[in-house]
Amino acid sequence: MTAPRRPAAVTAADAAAASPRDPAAARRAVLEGGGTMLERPMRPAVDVSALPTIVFGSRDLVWWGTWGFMIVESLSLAVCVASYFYLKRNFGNWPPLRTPLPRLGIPTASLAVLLLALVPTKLFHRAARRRDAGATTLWLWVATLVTGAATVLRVLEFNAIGARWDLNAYTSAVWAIVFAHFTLVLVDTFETGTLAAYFSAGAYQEKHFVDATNNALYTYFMILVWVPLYVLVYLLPRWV
Amino acid sequence: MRGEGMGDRADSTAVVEAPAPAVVADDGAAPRLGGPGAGDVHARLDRVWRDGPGLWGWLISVNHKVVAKKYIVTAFVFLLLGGIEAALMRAQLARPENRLIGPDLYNQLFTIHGTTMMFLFAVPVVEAVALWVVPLMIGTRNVAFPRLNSYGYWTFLFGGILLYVAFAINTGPDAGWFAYVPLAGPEYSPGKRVDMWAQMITFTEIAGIIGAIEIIVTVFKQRAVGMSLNRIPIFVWGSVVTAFMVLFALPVVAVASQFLAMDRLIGTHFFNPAEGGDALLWQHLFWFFGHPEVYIIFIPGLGMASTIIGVHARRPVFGYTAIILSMVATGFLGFGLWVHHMFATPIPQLGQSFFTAASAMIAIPTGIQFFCWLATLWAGRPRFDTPLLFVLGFMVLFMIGGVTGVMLAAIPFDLQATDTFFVVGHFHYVLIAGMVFPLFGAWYHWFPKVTGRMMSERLGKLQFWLFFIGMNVTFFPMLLLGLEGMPRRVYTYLPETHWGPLNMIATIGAVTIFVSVLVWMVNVVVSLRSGALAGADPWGGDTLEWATSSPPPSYNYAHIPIVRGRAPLWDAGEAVMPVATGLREDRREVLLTTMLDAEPDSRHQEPTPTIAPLLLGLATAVTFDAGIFTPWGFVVGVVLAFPALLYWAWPTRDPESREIVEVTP
Repeated sequence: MTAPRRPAAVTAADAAAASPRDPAAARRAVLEGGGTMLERPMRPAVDVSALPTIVFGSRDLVWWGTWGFMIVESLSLAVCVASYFYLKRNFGNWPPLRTPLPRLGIPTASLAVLLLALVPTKLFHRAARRRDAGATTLWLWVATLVTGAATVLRVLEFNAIGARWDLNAYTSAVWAIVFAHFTLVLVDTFETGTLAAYFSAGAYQEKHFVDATNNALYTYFMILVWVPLYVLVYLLPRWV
Repeated sequence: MRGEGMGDRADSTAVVEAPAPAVVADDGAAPRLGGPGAGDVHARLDRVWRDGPGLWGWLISVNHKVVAKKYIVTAFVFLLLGGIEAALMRAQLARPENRLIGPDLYNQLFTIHGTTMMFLFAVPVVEAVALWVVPLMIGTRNVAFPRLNSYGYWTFLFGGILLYVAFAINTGPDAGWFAYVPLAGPEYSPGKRVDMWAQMITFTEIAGIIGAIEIIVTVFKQRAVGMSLNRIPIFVWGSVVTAFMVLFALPVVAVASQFLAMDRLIGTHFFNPAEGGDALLWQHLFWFFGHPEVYIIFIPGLGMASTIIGVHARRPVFGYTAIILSMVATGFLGFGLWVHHMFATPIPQLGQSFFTAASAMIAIPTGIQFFCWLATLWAGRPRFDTPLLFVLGFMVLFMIGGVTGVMLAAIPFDLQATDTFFVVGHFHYVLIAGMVFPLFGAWYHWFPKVTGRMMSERLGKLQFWLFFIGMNVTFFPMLLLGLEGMPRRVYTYLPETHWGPLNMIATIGAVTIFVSVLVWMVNVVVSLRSGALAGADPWGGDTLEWATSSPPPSYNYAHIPIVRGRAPLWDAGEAVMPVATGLREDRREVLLTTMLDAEPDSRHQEPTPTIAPLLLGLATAVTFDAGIFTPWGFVVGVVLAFPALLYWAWPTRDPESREIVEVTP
């Protein structure tokens, strides 16, 4: 880069602002913004009016935002898991003595229901990508019902841990993991249900198809992240 | 034309399939825009982008400049409050056995001072400056998620209010800004003081994370046409690196503070050794956030310094690539240092050595940037305006902060100096020099752009010298006091220690800083009322924000600039700026570009102003505040947030939406 060439042109705004004829008006115009001609002279070089306004995947803004929140939630869960292992070092037995093993029945059922939700999610994802309103509506409702069922099972699942959070550090860590993921299930069910309601009521716009695909992305994350956590919470104590 | 599968809904929404995301390049003798007769465009855009009038319009605004201005003003109010707390502590310590402030209030003061400066001033203000400047620097009309942005501000505000209401009713936290357990645990800190701290953390971390996502997505997807990754302004790069650090550091302390709150409220045992919990777990989690936090504060300072040096030395900054890579390296290394805050705990020796090495290593990228700046100043024609003075002050003072930091990285030294005033002196040299100095520089640099008026140079230089001298008079004696063994966090000391004179000097320095800030405030008020009009580009800047008027209009740019180099206003050399046209002027539309090369990719409709972010912020506040007293706060939150979210996302019919849909692959 060579030495900079300083812009020679004084903008119309500068000229107006510096105008000695009516300095008060010029000042007001500048301070309110938009009142005077703003930038240096411009030359149109690219016309973007033919660009699409509805795009999917990484071309869409919300897709990026969804990834941001998935990173944040992954980290929150990772902190819970790291704490679980850190606290485990303080115990000879895991679960600690006089602490029951978590039961497997309902947690496994809840995992199965969550995995089942992958199917309608994939289906409304595809339908939304095709912009097929009928199929999107149908599979959004099915996905809402299935994740809703998982939410109910998750409430029962807290019982399956077998002890309250305040028994010892082990139960605290287990409750933290299960509860943290519970909030994800809750958020996802709410979001999917809201979208389903929009579509049913005919209140949707084109952009809601994009929202549905981003919602599917989040649902995959919510479900798949639970698989290793399930292994950690329910199986690991049986193996060590 | 009708899109497929639209059924009967297509009546109100004309949908066409995009032929291909091709753009019409027209570099020939196209008609000129701007100049006389261009007023219509501005009128149309202003009608669409302008906020409503009055208080209501201000409350519901989703314009990034309005939200960021709220953020900046609020953060500076917290800076003043934190400064007053510091002044009170200095007054108490001015002489031995002083009886001005008792131990209980003193504990609250140092806790709230640290908490305010870190959580309510430093992180919010650097994000806020980025939220104001970055969209203008990259040539877009607003941030990516404007409503979320506004929600972030309200959450931050309510968190700050919680802390100060707590302090006002004598429930201010008193266990240090890092709230070490077991002191901060239920056994040694009964009552609600620490809970106020823990919940305030949750508020501010949510706000911080939202700000980070805003910055990342805006920079990745909304850059001006042609602003490829290697042309992004250095300040914007710094903001992105910072945002990524926020994204990876803040969730950790948010979860940790929830653990602490649960230990205190519902009897979990994360940090209770009696039931298998671990006090050191808290330190690990806190410092895994706490150390990156230092760089979250410092890297924007680096970005501001590079920007100011480039413009005021009147040449492109030397070593663009080296500076960017140094900031990225600092971002990575910043996550590998946290254990150096824990050298006095039983950490395995190998681990200690690793963290010593990492702590010393982080001096390298900063050193590289120092040399780049020196080269820039050497080869440029520096103009010693107030912004550049503050940056030069930063370079000198940060050296002291950095060198004392390398000293503390050595474990034998650290063990002697830990918990003494040496550490206090060290980190104030790092944080005030590394962040507050560049921030004041940035204030003077961008104030004309924000308000349309120049700050007074005379008062600015007076403020700088008062601050520069006051800073050294305050904190250098602290380094000496630390070496003499004066511990931190004591509300008084005995005359026999002979620490009195140095403490008195430090207090005089604090008064000097206080006067300097008063001068700054006078300068702001006077300049706002009667400062010289700035015009679009008072400094002869190189980045896009200087291309639009001061203050910028609600929509920032009438047409999206096209960038062909790193310093678009210098490189172009053309009085006529090439722009992209064709964004709709009858609704809020921004141009999305590809992530690497910033080629035009799509047009995105932005949401309109709404009160929903404030309502959701209130719901959040009620939830967290209730959560201090009862675990049912969570349920309250779900119930309150539901309608607020629904209202937020309520679909509005747009009869003329005329969407163009991406061709299905």
